[in-house]
Amino acid sequence: MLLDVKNLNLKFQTSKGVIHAIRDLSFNIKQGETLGIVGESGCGKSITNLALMGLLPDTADLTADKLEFEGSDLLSLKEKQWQKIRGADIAMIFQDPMTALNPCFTVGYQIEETLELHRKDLSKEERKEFVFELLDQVGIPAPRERAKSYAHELSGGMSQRVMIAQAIACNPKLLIADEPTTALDVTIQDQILKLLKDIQAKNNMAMILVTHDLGVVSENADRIQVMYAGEVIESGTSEEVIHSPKHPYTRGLLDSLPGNGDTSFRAPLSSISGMVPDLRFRPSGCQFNPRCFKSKEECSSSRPMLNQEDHQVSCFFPLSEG
Amino acid sequence: MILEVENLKKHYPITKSFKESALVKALDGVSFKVTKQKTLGIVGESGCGKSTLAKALMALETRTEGSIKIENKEVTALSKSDFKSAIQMIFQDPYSSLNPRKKAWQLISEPLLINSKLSKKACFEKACQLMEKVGLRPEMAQRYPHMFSGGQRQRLGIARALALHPKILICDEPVSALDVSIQAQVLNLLMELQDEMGLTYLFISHDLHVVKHISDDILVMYLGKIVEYGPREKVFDKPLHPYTKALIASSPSVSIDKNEHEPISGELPSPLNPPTGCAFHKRCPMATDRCAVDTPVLETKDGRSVACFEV
Ligand SMILES: Nc1ncnc2c1ncn2[C@@H]1O[C@H](COP(=O)(O)OP(=O)(O)OP(=O)(O)O)[C@@H](O)[C@H]1O
Ligand SMILES: Nc1ncnc2c1ncn2[C@@H]1O[C@H](COP(=O)(O)OP(=O)(O)OP(=O)(O)O)[C@@H](O)[C@H]1O
Ligand SMILES: [Mg+2]
Ligand SMILES: [Mg+2]
Repeated sequence: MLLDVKNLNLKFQTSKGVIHAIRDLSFNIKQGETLGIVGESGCGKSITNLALMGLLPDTADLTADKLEFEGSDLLSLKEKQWQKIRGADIAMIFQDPMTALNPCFTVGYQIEETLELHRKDLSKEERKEFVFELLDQVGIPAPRERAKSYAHELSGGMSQRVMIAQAIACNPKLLIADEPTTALDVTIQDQILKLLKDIQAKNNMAMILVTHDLGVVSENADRIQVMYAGEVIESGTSEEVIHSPKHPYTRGLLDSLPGNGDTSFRAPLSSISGMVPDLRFRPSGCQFNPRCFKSKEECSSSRPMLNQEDHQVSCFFPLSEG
Repeated sequence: MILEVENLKKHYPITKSFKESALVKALDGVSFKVTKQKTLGIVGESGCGKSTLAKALMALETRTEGSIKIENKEVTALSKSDFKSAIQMIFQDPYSSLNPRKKAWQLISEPLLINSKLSKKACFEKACQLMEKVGLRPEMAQRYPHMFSGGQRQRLGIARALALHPKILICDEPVSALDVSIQAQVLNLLMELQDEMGLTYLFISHDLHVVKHISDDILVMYLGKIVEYGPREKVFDKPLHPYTKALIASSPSVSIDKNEHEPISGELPSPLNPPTGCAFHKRCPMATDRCAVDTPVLETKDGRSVACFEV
């Protein structure tokens, strides 16, 4: 197991009370595998990733029964040790390349900086050469010239590729891609996802792909994990989750997609009524029960747990096949 | 014909340092027509000029050239209040487009206060009616925007746009900032309002599934120009332009039959330095030598217009 997470809990102390943002989150990732994470805005996708990168803000209170990367504990790491792992073994691509790249330095320099930190085996000359190689690998034409560009001189798709080049510079074992293509249009999105897949296959790299686009995860992830209010409510192969979802919430998300369900012209779309709970005032029992069409008494009195089958679901009345 | 646009152009002058000024041709000769109570879906890559088109129609930007007619009248001939009640717009981002210091009812009735002689009380009542229409409880009238969820805020934006009873509503990516389940609620609302109030929509989105679901006609843009334009069945089910084909092929979907396709290569061209000939030729799998030299114009083929030498 590359990454093993058991009962991760994350709380924020705020002036308006404690936010229990992630509750008893457990999941794992094998080498070379792509895990897709989906869920509504605010369900905790990004902060889970920040926890894995050791980048949580000071106000966050993180606990877990287990948080292991390649068998070694991440919870007890000091910032110094994190710096060794971050960018080298675990790398991340952020949603917005324009804010993630430094506007004051050339993109070539920024990639070189990463190499300088983690690839002490390379000489200065070798590092320079390697930057061009990386830019070439991610499909940037004329890499020698492009390395001298600043982020604002590149198109959105190009900057996103520079970020990818930087992220893969040290052959990470795990790449976290948080909405890597939301800012791009579909033809460029397609190119980037294909590129990530190629790199993954070549380096046997594992990937966490976070997106709200169910189509993107369905086409690119091996397994999908659906989150709701800071909990995993369903997890299985992409096939299973997309084509035979067990949780009413997953079903609801899929049904509300135009182009799924009733695709006839102007047919009313189905949608999930209600709103996601305020995490300071969580409902009792199943977090989804106030919005669920299958909800019964049990659902509001006790909390369902993720079952231990291959296709996991946390629901007292899971949907059956078909 | 409720809306007729002829040869609309918007060129932005850009002053480059030490060089003579250049032009960004954000819109370069766009023509289309929309029938009452129909929806025109507008798709195309980021930066191809969709928002510029919306702004030019709303007169938020002065056009460089071309004519815009609403119900056969050139819009420049309309009085300000006639124009406002002819065409309104809802914006992409429900979070930043609403003034956080105003209450819901004030936000909704603001256009009324400015453009009509209604009393404050009448405005409040009108706002409550509009809130009900878009599925918000009138009790929420005294709340501030931050007390609403994303979907509710987008409803506020819609209610505000409807305050002056427009005939045409431009929706610039109205659902892209929303989660899928809220997106469905907002789309349903737009469809209901269209039937109920006879609204005509210009619907801009990068999500082809959404556009296909609600649009009668589709307009595909590339670098300020129309590359394909016609009825939804034609454009979606039998696309002719290689760019339209690429868009449809790369559109991610959850369907079982995974589409195995090669992504098209190449970067989006820069509008500051557009390619010669057809703007798409450097990325086009069908391009010939001619495409690098001559610019194709829109021609009618198989029930739609398309600008390509190779179809
Ligand atoms: N620094 C913080 N202090 C307090 N609460 C926070 C902080 N950061 C995040 N949260 C809360 O934690 C929850 C999860 O946030 P997160 O950013 O992980 O959501 P997300 O799933 O990535 O959503 P999106 O799809 O909008 O990116 C949210 O309710 C958010 O308000
Ligand atoms: N005020 C301006 N000055 C100069 N150039 C501009 C201005 N506004 C827009 N542009 C340029 O005009 C082109 C079209 O922009 P527009 O915002 O219409 O694109 P869009 O199709 O709406 O893109 P998106 O899908 O990203 O919203 C872009 O190249 C943009 O950089
Ligand atoms: Mg996020
Ligand atoms: Mg736009």
